[in-house]
Amino acid sequence: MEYKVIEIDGDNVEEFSDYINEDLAEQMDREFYRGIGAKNDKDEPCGAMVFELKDSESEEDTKSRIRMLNAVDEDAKNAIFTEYANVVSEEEVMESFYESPDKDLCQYLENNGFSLSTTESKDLVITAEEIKKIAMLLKGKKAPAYIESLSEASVLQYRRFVKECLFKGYKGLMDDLAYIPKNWFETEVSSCVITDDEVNGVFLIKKSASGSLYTMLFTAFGADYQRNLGLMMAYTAQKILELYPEDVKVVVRRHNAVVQKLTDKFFAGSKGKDVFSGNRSEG
Amino acid sequence: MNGADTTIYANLVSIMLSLGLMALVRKLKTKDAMEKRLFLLLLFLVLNMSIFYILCVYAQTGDLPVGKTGALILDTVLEVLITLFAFDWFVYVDYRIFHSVDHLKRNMKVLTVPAILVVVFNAVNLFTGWLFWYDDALVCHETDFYVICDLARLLYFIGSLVYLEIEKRKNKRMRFFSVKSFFIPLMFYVLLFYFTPYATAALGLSIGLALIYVQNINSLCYQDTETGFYNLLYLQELRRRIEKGDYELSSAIMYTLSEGDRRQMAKLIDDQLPEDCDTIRCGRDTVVTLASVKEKAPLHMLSEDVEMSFEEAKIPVSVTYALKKKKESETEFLDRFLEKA
Repeated sequence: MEYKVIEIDGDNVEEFSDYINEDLAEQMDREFYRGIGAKNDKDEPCGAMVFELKDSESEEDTKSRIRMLNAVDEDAKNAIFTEYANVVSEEEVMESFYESPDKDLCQYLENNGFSLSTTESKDLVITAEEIKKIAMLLKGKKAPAYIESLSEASVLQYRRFVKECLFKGYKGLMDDLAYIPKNWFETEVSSCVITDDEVNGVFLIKKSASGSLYTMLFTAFGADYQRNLGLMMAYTAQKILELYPEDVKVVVRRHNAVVQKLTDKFFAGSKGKDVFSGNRSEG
Repeated sequence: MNGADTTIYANLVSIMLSLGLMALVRKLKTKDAMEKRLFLLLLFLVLNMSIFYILCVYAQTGDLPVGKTGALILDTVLEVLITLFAFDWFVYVDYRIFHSVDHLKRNMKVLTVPAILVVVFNAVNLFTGWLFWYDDALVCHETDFYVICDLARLLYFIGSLVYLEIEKRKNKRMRFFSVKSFFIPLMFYVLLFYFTPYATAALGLSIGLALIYVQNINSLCYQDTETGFYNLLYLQELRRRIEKGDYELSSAIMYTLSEGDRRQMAKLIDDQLPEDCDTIRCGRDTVVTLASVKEKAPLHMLSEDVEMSFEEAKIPVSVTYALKKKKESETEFLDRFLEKA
């Protein structure tokens, strides 16, 4: 069957709601998220693919992380994937990679030149017990006055800090941090260090459409930055316990060695789910 | 010349040096008023220490007829001044390194408790003589406890620098200059206090402070006096470092003022600048920021914010930025970018 492929963005993502889950759908407005959809001759959505470009504006090789690929049949998938190859070439992507529990997707990718292996997911889901333990770092007291919710920081203070982060090369999970406004995050749960009238540290949390909380950026500069990191973590944990039910899902993506070390220290013994992962060279 | 004369002359030199430095520092145009105030306080304390050293000598020789009690009081004031100097020294070095008033406030306990203890001990000594006392011949006798307290004060002085060196290592992400240069006054203090039989420690401290001042002045030769940014001399120095491979340059932003107050322009730019950037005045109305950032987004964000703040202040300025091309060397990039200035 013949399918036509179109670009999916924030304006038309609703059409593909049968294929793209709500958490990914809300990302389609973001600078480096791309979507490809397939429609049949009746103009009905028949499949979709979402991927995220990484390091596309830096000196590093551009990579593409495939987030999902879902379609009614093999022909639709192939049509989408062929278009993916075109996009990847235009964007000068050097490597595509994925991490997913979806065996069918992984099998499809393996058939299209991707490697396949089972591995522990980089996403770590934190339990309520673990959150309580973190909150206890404050030993039942209130955090010092200079640890506040992100809502207390002005837009100017937030932007100054983001610039500081970007100039130092800290982006957390967000290649598009420069384009993200303060209120994109959960401003009551996210915390920041405000000293000398400036934001000197942040712990940014994003609430997805499905209600899960994702840690997006956790960094601090200046005097006592290590101590402030611990205080922000405890403060945010306290806020999560206050504002969300116990079964709220909190996800930490261990995207680099620093975060891995942190989670090993605070959540020793916790493991990510088993997933399939692989990559393919595009260059 | 006897010991008393040596002490007096040495402290007179210290007084003149302190007064001269105070006059020079007051004239200095510096962005950081807090740092200037702390340094002036140090000089003020050294000045007073020198004065009280001289007064103590005169009290001991009988030239100042204050008697035993008066000599004890003068000596106690001197001890308090030395302790206050050590305290202010700790505060000054902490501020020079972290530039954070909040950090100082949070560490007040660490800074003040030892100093307060020493001051209290000295106050109690007026009634107990447990540190030092004067006999009828106006000779000062120091007890073993005084020796211990004096050593503790020296350790507090050294401890401040060790603490700061440790903080520096913990806060690796901050830009620091060397803590070692702050050992200079301490070194002179120790040499003259412990290794000469004369009370010339204040001279040691004022020489040390003079060297710190000279060090600060040397860095000011790179400063453009009107804007407070670096000048073309610094640009030459940067170029040398780039050619040596000591400086990473990947991006640059240029601001050109069409009309208006250059100082205000400098302040508006400075308010938006992150650390780790060098900003240089390259022309009459042109300022360039050099950075190691390799992506367009941060540059775009910075130029947007600068343009917004200039718009609010109704100052016409144009802002452009550029990234180094992959096959371009850093020097080629710098030359290409500066051609526009």
